[in-house]
Amino acid sequence: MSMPTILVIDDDVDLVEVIRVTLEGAGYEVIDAQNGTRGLALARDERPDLILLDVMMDTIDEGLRVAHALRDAPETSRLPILMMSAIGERTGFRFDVERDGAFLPVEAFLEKPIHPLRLLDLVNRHLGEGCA
Amino acid sequence: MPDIPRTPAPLRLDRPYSVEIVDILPLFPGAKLVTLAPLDSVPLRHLPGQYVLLSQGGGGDLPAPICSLYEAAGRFAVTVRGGGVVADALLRRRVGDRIGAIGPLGNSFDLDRLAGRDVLLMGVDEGMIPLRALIEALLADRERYGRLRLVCGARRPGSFLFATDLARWRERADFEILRTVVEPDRDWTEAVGVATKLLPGLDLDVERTDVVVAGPAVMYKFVLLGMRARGIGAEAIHLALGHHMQCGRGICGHCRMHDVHVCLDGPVFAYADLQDKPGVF
Repeated sequence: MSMPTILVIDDDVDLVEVIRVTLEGAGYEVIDAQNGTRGLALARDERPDLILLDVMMDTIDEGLRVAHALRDAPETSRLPILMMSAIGERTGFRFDVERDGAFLPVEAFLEKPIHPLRLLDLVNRHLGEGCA
Repeated sequence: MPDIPRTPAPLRLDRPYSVEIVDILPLFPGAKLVTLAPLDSVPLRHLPGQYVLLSQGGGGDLPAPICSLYEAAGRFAVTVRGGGVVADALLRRRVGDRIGAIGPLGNSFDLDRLAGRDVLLMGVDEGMIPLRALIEALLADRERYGRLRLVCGARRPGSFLFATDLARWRERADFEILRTVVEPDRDWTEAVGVATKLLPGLDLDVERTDVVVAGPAVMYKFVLLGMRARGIGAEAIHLALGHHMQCGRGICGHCRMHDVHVCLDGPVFAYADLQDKPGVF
């Protein structure tokens, strides 16, 4: 049985490594991209099981654009997206998946910093029972 | 030059007056464009962005953005959407009925600031209510402004407010309108999705563009992020926040955001004046 694949789209290479160690330790396969363009290409070509998506990358709203683009493409429209960002601290804006509706088309919004084990728990929950 | 007042209106603030309903235009179920005429024939001399308080005999007042241009004859229009005690009661009124009004109240869009500038209007759902008067003011004095565009969003093709006005505005070559819906039907050929999805594709002259935003509360932070990504300065972003108002008098606190009350300090704000107030959006 193949291991579920997690695509991490984040320009913080140190954070990506922490996530990689955590998720691979739990049995997941991790692929990553450091910007939205590369992330969209990987999502289309590799068909991951879940995406962890940063917001502030090349532009302050890049992750939001990526989320909409993923939802618009038939091959990625149903992929679960967990958005993670420090944008709330940076801007003072408050994000809430339920309240923000179609403006924030993701399964969950996580304010950084995120404890790796909490992230693992969320990934497990969104992928069913997990693969550990 | 059209007779559009450009200076603050003489306030009729604390002097309630009677108005007669002279026209009712259903917009869609639960929303009507109601035209009112003061019985004393004294015009409001309102400015785009201002509002009136309407009362119909019990149940409190309804703050209603004025969505028509100033008329020398004194008539003005408001849009009433159902969902509250006063609004529902007003929707049951008929032509010829009389109700109470106070106003015009609040500040307005700064037409002098917009003069000579490209203006991008973002109006989604009920956000089109305060924008209607502004759009009419911009079009009535069209040569005073640069490129004029409206990004207009609604849930479904049939749920655009002011569909007749949108059709009329679209006939003009000097006003560009982009429409988008979240739930398209099979005949829809324009954009699909929330209005903020259109922002990256807009060609903006960042140095000469002002942006006016009016919509549901959840939309603002996404527009602001999109504008920041495009390099639009906070002083060039103008926000209509009247949808937060409840009593319209600074009493209930419902529209308090950080240290401002929308009804007392607005309802129009420059984003530069709010950007350092955490938790507003």
